[in-house]
Amino acid sequence: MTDRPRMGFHFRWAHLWALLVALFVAAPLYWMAVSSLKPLEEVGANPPTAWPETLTFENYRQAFTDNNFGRYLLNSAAVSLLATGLVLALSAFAGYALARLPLRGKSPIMVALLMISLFPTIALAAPLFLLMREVGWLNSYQGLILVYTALNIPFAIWILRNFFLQIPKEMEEVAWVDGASPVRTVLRVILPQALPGMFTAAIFTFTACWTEFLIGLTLNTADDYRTMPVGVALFGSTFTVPYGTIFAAATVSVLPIALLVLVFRRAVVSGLTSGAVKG
Amino acid sequence: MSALLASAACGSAGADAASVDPERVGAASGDITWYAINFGPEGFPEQLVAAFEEAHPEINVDFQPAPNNTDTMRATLTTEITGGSSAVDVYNGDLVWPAQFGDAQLAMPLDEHLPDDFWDRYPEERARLTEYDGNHLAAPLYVDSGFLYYRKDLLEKYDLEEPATWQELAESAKRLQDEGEVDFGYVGQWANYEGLTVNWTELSAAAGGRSVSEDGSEAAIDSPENRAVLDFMREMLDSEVVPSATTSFQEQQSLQTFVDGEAAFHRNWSHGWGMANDPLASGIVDKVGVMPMPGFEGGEKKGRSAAGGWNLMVNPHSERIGAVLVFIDWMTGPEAQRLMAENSVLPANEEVLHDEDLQKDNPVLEVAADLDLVARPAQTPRYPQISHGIYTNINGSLAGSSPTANALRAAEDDIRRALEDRAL
Amino acid sequence: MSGGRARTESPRTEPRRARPQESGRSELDRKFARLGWAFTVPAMLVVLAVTLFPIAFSVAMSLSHVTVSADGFELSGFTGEHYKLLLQSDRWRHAVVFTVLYTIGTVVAELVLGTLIALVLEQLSGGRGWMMALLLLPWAMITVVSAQLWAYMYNGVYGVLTAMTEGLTGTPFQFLGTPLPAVLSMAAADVWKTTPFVAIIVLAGLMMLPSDVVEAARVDGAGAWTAFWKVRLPLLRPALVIAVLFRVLQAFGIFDLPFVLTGGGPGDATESLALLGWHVMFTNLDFGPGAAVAASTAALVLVGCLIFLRAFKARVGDEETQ
Repeated sequence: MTDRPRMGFHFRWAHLWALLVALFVAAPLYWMAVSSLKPLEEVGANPPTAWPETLTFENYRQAFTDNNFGRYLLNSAAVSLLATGLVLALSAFAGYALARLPLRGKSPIMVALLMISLFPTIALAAPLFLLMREVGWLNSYQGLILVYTALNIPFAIWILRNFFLQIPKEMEEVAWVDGASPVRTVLRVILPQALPGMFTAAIFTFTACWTEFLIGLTLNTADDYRTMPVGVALFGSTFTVPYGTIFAAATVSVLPIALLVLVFRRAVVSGLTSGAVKG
Repeated sequence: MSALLASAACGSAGADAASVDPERVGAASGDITWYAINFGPEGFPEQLVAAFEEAHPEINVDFQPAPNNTDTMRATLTTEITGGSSAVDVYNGDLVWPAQFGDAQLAMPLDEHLPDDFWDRYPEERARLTEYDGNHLAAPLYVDSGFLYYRKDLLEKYDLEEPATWQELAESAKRLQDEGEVDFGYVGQWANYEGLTVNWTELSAAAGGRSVSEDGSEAAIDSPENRAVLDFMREMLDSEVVPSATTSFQEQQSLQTFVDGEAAFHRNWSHGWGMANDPLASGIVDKVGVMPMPGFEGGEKKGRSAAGGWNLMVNPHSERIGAVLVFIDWMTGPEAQRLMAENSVLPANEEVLHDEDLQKDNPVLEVAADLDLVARPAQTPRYPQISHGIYTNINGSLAGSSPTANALRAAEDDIRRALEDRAL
Repeated sequence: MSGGRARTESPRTEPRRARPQESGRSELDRKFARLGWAFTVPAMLVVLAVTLFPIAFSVAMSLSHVTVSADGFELSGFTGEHYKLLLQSDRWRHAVVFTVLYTIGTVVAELVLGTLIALVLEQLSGGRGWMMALLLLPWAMITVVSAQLWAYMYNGVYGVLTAMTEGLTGTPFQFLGTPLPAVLSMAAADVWKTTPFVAIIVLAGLMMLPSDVVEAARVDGAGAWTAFWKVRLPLLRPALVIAVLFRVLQAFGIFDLPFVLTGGGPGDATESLALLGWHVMFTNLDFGPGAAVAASTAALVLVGCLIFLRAFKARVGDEETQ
């Protein structure tokens, strides 16, 4: 790359723009993290202080000891990871079939999936409660996992199908002719080529589950099964919003996402670059 | 009283138990779940539960904290109770809920189960606010009301009186702003939400106005008194006595501004006192005075404070009503109510509210003991729409989009539609 | 990863051209069709099991007399009253206008910004993983909390943004106090949180583009700009369509931001359809009209999506079998 001066020029501009983007994205996050380290009085100080005059971890202590926040994080992690796994497993095959296999009625299916995901959650919460009560899955992991899986499949299918459509056909045709089993073909031949798509679907499904509030609130009310977003809503009382504690919890809650991205970075970036760099 | 109720609930056949059917209420023992938004100092509900369990070892109470937003809590309760769930036995309900919850059968009517003299423990007015359709739907747990907090140090320094009217308040506030002591004269809760209905109700009542007619059947907000009030509020904004940010302020933001030392006067509930005098949170410790809300020139001589606070309500599906009744009796009785008063939660129990020993340690309690209260027009199940008609139009007018006359006319229309059940 | 490597070596110029269909369906085709259903049905079943009842129930509620009681929702008899109530209500009409305009405004802004960010990230030689991690943080925040963060920053007295405007202009700017600034401030908070969604979808789309096509254009002498407009953007269309489609769905259902930031105010300036639906259902406990608000929201956004799909001739599924 570096042997092409024109590209070198572009790279420098790209870095500058990237820096600007990073600044805009990071500034509010910085403010959240800094405020979580301020004592109560300083959180409301006017003018606000750019760096805590008194640095304190009291807000973190409150989030984790006065409230059961650690437990809520674990619950959220369990529910989100399992739901994401299920969504990927189900949507990869469905997305592949809808992209490549000769099904009738693909168009109605895709539109129906869209329709399902556009119905407002506020209207689903009460009937879902009735449904889960009937099944006996209130205050459980499986109830929430099932609901999150169902609500995120439509988006995952849409996005995965789009990626499958762009994969060259030759590979799988070779596999079919070689007599590989269909499941094996998808797992071994198709998915590796659609890694960016799998990653995109996974990360969006995970964050959707990780941050979902209303259904978590409705279905899991017992402390042992409460999820993280619901836990944060319990901080404070009717008339007080303890910004410090909320921001401490929120800071902790976004870290796993960044970590996930960084852990999977190798797989993702290598999948990505193999497509981009080629000449 | 306590013993009476307990024996009734246990099903002993005494004459006093006539109003309770033991088969329906069940044993006065076992596990019950209490669902409530946190109140009082950190861990206070748990402290109450521990004290209760010590007095009644036969009953276990599981305190389940609710989301700290009143509307969100109402949503979860509605979903659970209409869904037939008995997971929650007893819950804290907002002062303005009884009519709506009674109408939708989300709360169990209590008269069948509680003797008539149970209600003697409350100020009559307060007990009446829990009635709907001739039945008590809730038992007051703790009360709250509007207080005027002011900078005692600054009033003394400039030899200013406690304001008797809102007009005096505006004048003193302006003086302190001009002297450079504070940035803002007054902050309250004028954002687009229920709290503005509360602030409005106080001001309107001080001027002799109402939003709904006394019998609750007609809109009455478009009146000369209310026009004067809304004009006055807009004038406070125009003259910058009230910062324009106030149209997006709820309790938290306005109190924060006050304890930061930026405002001379401030309206809030009783928790304002504790926070203003908490060295960890406040820059004005020991510089704060508290008094009833002021009157309005040309209106009433004395101001009116809005009634607030929370009640205990019972899930109609509860299978432990016997135990729940014992819990309600104890929580509203002297021991628990004293514990509240000692933790700056205003007791609903009249005897504790007027306890002079307790008042000595808590100036807010002293002021609270003889306030002139005004209730929001919540005697109808349509109250949420009425309140929306009030706060949206007032807030819209304060934020500058419509003149006083138009805003009140629009509010009048909205309230009328709500009362006729034609509002969205 | 060997697939990815192998793929880049396969010579091809038209990556997405449909396989020519033989006339009549062969035995193989029927086998593949059965396979297709076997792959599709499990996902469909899960989706239907969870959503069919709630959606049907809501639609039924919106068309029935509803009594809420401790015994649950009692639906008795068909009625069009709830929808009539909506159509006669200024509040509903206002919410529709606000939601539609807000959706168009924010989605267009996010689409432009998101595409630009994706193009910038594509050019990065290193640190792309870190940038993606950073970009995902706003998206991964609980919406209520990010709304609280913005409310805190916009606060008219001790908000950092207010303080910054005071430092720059001498007077503190009120972000949430009056209608137009409130709408724009809310949109800014929204764009901050959701642009990464668009950027990452577009970036992934960029990565999947056949690089040989772009190279070919470059060899033909097209500048970077022409290559983008004429070659890459058209190929990106499917990814853009998905990003827009799902952002429209999310924006149309916006709830947490106005709920926390403005309470729908000042006045009713920022009351979205979802917020209205929530108020009607859970504050007023009017489940019939509330369900009607929800169903009307779904109907409106469906119409919007279908128009959009048609206008952009987006491929929705049948192109391969026709």
